[in-house]
Parts: sequence; structure tokens; C-alpha cells
Amino acid sequence: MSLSINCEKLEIILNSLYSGKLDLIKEITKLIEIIRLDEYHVSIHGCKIKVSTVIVNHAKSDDLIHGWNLLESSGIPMKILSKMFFLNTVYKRNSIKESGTVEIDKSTHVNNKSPDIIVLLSLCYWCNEYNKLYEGRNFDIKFQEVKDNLPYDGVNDTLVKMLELINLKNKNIKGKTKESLVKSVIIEIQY
Amino acid sequence: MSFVSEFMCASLVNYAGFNTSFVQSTNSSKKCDLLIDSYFIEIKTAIDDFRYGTKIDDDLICELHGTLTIDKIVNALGDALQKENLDLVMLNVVSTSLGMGIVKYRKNNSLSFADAMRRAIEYVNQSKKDGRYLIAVIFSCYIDDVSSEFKVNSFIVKYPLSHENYQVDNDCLPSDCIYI
Repeated sequence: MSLSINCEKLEIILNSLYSGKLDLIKEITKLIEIIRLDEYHVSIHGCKIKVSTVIVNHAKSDDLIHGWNLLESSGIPMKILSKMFFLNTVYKRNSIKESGTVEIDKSTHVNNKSPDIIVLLSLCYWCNEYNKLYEGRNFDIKFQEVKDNLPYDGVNDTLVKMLELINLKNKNIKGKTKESLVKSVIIEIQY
Repeated sequence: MSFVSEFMCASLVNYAGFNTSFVQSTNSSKKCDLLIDSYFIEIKTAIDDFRYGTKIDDDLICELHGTLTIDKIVNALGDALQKENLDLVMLNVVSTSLGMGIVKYRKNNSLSFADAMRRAIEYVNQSKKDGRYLIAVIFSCYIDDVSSEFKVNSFIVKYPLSHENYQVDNDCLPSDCIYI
């Protein structure tokens, strides 16, 4: 699954992060929206994703976008969540060395660790799919549980992890610069 | 994010030809996640830590016994057993070594999800008479990075129940309780 993400933007963001500049925030702001590129591809935070290769064969862009809109219109702050999940994706990609891909044989490679942002997109897709298949029957029952339990308060945890990563990669960033970076990211994530 | 499994599972069940709906939970009692036809189903998602999740045992039997009896899974089943009217557990093991192991050893000949569901319901009907087993459909969905195909591998486990405390007896999981 990880192979399906165009990582060019991830690299830009990471380089900004390691250098201690605030370009990270600008990048995320610019690229926040989920965009339908064509029938089979979406872009989120600048990463081009082929929907059918990260969720299920028959998934199309519109299914995902409908799911995203369904969650957003029901009061789930998708933009905040997506920034948080995306930062976690960036963090894990660089702090965990193993790719998660297992070579079963020459013709089968499987990745059992979906990037966090893909998990969020999967939630959008499967919510929409359930709603479609069952015409919304009892959807609200489970949906309320989703709303109550999504990790909204995980923003601070994400930031702590990102700081660890900055410390790891760039020893020259001083305390005040880090503080400033964290404050800016908090503002950017929450609004 | 176990909700992803729950919504996905409800959709897979529909693809397999069954009818389902979510069950309303209340403060006073613990309810199962889904009602499929007249059967109450609890959905669980098992996640290994990163390293263990990609290290597959050298043969399928070791892998099955190794993973199916780890505390995390047995505890998840114990939690499911607390749910009112429980008939069947569906356990998503995609993020475990077993999820990968079942692909490695049985990628072309495991039970289809629909067959696993049908057979599991037969076992549930038998088990209701004697109450000796907890029936679990173990499944793992993945997309092959090479072929980009979405696949679901499934099998059924009859977990022996200890009568004293109505818990899964994880010291005893005979091979003839696993149907691949």
C-alpha cells in the first residue's frame, strides 16, 4: 500500500521540518483539501493516491469523496483529523525503519501497516459504502460511536512525536525555535 | 480506529449475500456490533506490534497456534464473551503475523469469506446446543502490492470454552478446531 502514495510532497515537508523552517505549515495549509483528480485518483496533502490500490479494487474517487463529505457534514472536523493523521504518517515513515511490506513470493507483496492517512480515507470509504448498501439503516447508531471516539485529542501527541523527530534529525534547533514551531503548528492544526 | 473494521465488515457481509445492521448499544448492557440475519456478531481487530506483525512462523500450524493463543487475542475474545446474546466473533487479523501467514501459506485456497460465514453459522447452530465452543471467523483483507488485487482470506476457529468461568481456554486449542 505504501507504494501507492506519491511521496514527493512528503519529502518537501520533511526537509522543511528538519531544517527547522516553518515551511511545513505553509505546505500543509496549501494542500489541505482532498481533491478528486480523476475517476480513480485523489490528492490529499499533495499526495496522489490511487483509491483502488489502497482500499478495495472497485473503489472510485467519488466513493471516497462522498464518504469524506458525509463525515464532514455530520460534524466531524475532517480537516483537523486529516492534518493530524498526515503528520503521523510522516512521523512513522521516518522513525520506523521497516516498511511493513512482506514479500510472500515473487508475485505477492503485502503491506499490513496502512499509513495513518490511508486509515482515515478507509473510514470515509467504508462509511459511505455501508450507507449505500444498507440505505443508511442504523447508520446513526454506529456513527455516533465514531464521533464520540475519534482521537480529536491526539493533536498534542502528534506534535510531541514530530518534535522528537525534529530533535533526532536536527540537533541545532534551539529551544525557542522549537517553541515557535510548535505554537505555529498548533494554531495551524486547530483552525 | 476499529470502526474501519466494523464498517468494512458490514459491507463484506453484504457482498457475501447476508443482510446486516448495527445494534443499538445502551448504558445498561453490552451489546454486540452487528445483527446478521438472526445472529449477534461482535467484530474485533487484532494488532501486533510492528516487528511481530511482519515476522511469519516457518509453518502454518505454528503460526496459527502462536497467534490465536496470544493474550491480546484471547483477551479480545474474552471481551466479546461479555456481550449480550453473542453468537459469533469476527476477528480481523490483517495487522498480525497470522494475517500475513495465511497469505503466505494459503493464498490461493483459503475459505472464501461467504463460505466462511455460512459454515460458521452452521457451527454456531451446533454450538448453541452444547455451549462448548466460541465460534470465530478469522479474516484478513489485503491489497497485493504487485497485482493491486483486493483479497480476503478467511478461516474458522472453534475456541473451546472453559465451563467454570465461561472464558476461552487458550491452553487448549486442538488443531481439529481450526477450519481453513
